[in-house]
Amino acid sequence: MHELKAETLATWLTQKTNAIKTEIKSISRLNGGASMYTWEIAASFEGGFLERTSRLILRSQSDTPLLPSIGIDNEFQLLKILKSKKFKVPKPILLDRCGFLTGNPALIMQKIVGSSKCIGAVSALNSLDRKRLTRDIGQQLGKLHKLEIPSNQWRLFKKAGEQSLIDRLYSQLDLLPYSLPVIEWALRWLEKNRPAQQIQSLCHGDFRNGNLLVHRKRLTGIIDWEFTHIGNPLEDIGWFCARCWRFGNDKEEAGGIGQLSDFIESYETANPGNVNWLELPYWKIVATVQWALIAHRQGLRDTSNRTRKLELVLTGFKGVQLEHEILKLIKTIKE
Amino acid sequence: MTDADQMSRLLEAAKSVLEEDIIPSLPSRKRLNALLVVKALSIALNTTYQMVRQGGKEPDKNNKALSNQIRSGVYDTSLNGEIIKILSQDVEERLEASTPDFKMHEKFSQYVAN
Repeated sequence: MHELKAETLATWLTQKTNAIKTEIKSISRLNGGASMYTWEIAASFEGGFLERTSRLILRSQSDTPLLPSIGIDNEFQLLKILKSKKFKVPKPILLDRCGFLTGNPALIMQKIVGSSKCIGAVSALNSLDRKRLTRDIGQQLGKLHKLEIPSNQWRLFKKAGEQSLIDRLYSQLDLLPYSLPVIEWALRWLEKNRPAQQIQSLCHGDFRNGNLLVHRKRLTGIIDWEFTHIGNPLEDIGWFCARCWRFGNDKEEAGGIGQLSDFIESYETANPGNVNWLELPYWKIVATVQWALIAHRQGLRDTSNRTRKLELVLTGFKGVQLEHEILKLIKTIKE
Repeated sequence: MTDADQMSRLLEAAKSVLEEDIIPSLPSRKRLNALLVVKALSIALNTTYQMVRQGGKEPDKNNKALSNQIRSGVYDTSLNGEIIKILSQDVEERLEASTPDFKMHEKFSQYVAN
């Protein structure tokens, strides 16, 4: 288990921010991030460039980062680019490349006000609130998919894009110690029914309601950029809209939050004519296959944290539910 | 009484103590973890119920052979044909064994480890 010591952190922050003194008021470990550890820090600074800042988030890489992860360093650079383009992302502040604080590379960013427990938060919303929130999300995603990355910065994301998505999914399937005929069949189906149009843009890679922060009924932040890559924009949209991420709010096709028509309208306003919406059902199947593979893999992961291990094993049992969903989705397209 | 019968009784008893005696007196921050344990026990219990129904034997599966056939293209001309029935039956059995409540309402729950 990685530790973050208040004293070490205070000394490091004082030095890096040119403060006279730093007081760490609290450190609490947060859930979230597939292969990252995250802490929320309350600190007060005397002098230095963080003098008015009090709430920070520290994200540290784990010992075994997942393969598609772009790594802390690249995530830090990406957040800088996105912040400069006025995206709703946390402001990156400092980078600990050498792993001085936690033993692994880490980044410190400003905490955004909002909750990622999006579904719970929206349950109290009326239809107009939902509409506005859905439009916020569609606007941000449309804008992201339109973003032009300078060629000298493409190296940040090439890693994930070297293999085609279907090949990547086959590789993940082959890492499992048992066979999954439904996933095998679904991948074959996806290969045979691959849409002709292949467009590419910057994709978030884990764009779902759990990575969206909401405060006072509006979108305040998009977090967890570790799987950002160059890919088909419908990959993000399919992931966001897949039923498995709606947690029971099935009528709200846009992430369990709002109506798909509102999402499409705002996405199209930000990024007109970029995607063929008729291909969305295909990408929802891709998303469900992807999540099924992750769930099966999570079920096999080990950790010394007892509660976390229980969560992981229970997530493994979602695999068969997702296989059931995949069969339903493909049968619906067939009909 | 078979081993599976005995296992069901053990899990039922443990689950009931947890749900009825322990959880109500837990502080809220511990309650979520305890509910995850209840979920885990329910899954284990459903699997043992299925084993009881099947006389204590796990169903014989040949998933590897089927997966190999699919990848080598044996079903390519009929991906939407008979294969769907075979796959559906396998999934139904596994759902019945682990999370039969999902079969009823087909809603995805929020606990995830990712």
